[in-house]
Amino acid sequence: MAAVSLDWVIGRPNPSSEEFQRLTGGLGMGPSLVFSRCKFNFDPRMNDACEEALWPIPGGIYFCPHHACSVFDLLCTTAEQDLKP
Amino acid sequence: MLKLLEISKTGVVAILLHPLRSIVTAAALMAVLLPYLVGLGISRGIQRQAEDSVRFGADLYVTGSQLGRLIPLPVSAADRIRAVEGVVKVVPRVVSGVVLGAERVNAVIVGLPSDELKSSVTCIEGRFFGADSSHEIVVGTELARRLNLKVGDQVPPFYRSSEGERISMVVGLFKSDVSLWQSSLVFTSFKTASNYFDQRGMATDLLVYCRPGYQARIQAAIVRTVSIPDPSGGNLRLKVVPREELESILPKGLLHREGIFNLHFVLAFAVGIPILLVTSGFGLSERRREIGILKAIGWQTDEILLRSLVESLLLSLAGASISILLAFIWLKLFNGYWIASIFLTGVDAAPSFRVPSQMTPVPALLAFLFSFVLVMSGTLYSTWRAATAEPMEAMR
Repeated sequence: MAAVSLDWVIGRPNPSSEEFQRLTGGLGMGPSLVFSRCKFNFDPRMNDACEEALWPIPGGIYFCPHHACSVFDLLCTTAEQDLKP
Repeated sequence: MLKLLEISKTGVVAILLHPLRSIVTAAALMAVLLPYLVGLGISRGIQRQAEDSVRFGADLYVTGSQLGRLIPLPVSAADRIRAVEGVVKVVPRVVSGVVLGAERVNAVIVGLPSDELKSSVTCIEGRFFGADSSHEIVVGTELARRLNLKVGDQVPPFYRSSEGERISMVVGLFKSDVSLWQSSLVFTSFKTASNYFDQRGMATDLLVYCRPGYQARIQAAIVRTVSIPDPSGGNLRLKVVPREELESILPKGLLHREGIFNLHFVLAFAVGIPILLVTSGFGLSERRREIGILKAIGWQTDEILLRSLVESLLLSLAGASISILLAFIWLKLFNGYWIASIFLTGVDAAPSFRVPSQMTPVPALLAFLFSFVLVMSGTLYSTWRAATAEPMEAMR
């Protein structure tokens, strides 16, 4: 309990994080730090699904090294916006 | 009541009676719980930073969409969006991946118009890049460490451009505690980024900032009324992602952690039960004899089970508490050394940035609950078998 309380005290919101996000217009949301294979796991704003979901084989998301054992699973956004007038 | 308390005290004595067994049981618990708690701690840390990313980012993100895929769109689209009522500003942005150096280090290039930057910020050591197409860059900590870059260093051309290749100059470094996603970043002006990819006049996305209350109307107006001609002769379809949609894709709690991470630990917990079964009962003939003696001197089966329950409770409490403490030390003092590279992609064993983490009460309570279930599953059956046997048989 002491460890959890101490972490709560020292882990308060970081003003530098806010400054960085305002500076870049919001960047990064997933547990990946690079774009190398899965943009979605870096930032879902860059791709609305894992690029391996349909290629090279359907269901490839489960073989994507960025998703296997992921501690932070992001849900895929809608593939296409369908706003009716 | 007093009798129950006395029986409970014998549970404490039972732990001290077999110190090796108690230590092995607590160690087995820690082996399962520690990586799980560290993983959840990192997960909570990422979530907090991801929430910052959504909260302090733009109101709307506009990209092109073709055959269900996101594509860049012309910067000229920004002028059409600016004309929509309620739009405060529209900022074009370039975000893309690149491979740098002989070591082939992956980096993320972000380009923004230099007039959008504030003159003084605290998240950077050094200074911002200058006017557009100056080829000045600010780099992230992990990238700087891997490529051994410092402020003032020059980066040889790593790209091909129809306007010729130029040396880039490092003018600033992000501070290590700023954000997780700064670590592999090359932050530069919009024109420099466009030059790196030789695609001038194109933006990966447009960041749209709206007046309060106008966001939904602007989103609908962009999709319905803004038309951008594409090279095929038709109109480029726009995809608009509002802040709320990004919020909705963030995991909302422990129960939403899906995938193989959870599966691994379900398996680990399942394997933990037979391990604890061996360490806490089956293999110990002394323990059977002990229960036999207690039965012979008049203890009832329920009293023996209560004694075992208290013993299990204390062992699981000790195992969970030590695991939480070790997880805290691993994440805060050792900055997730080695384990961060398992849970985060693109990180070395010794991260050069502050690994985001947060210990919360729910995982701590879950750790205790899991360990109690594990120890109870391991001890209850063996104790019950010994307690229901004839004392003569148990003592043999």
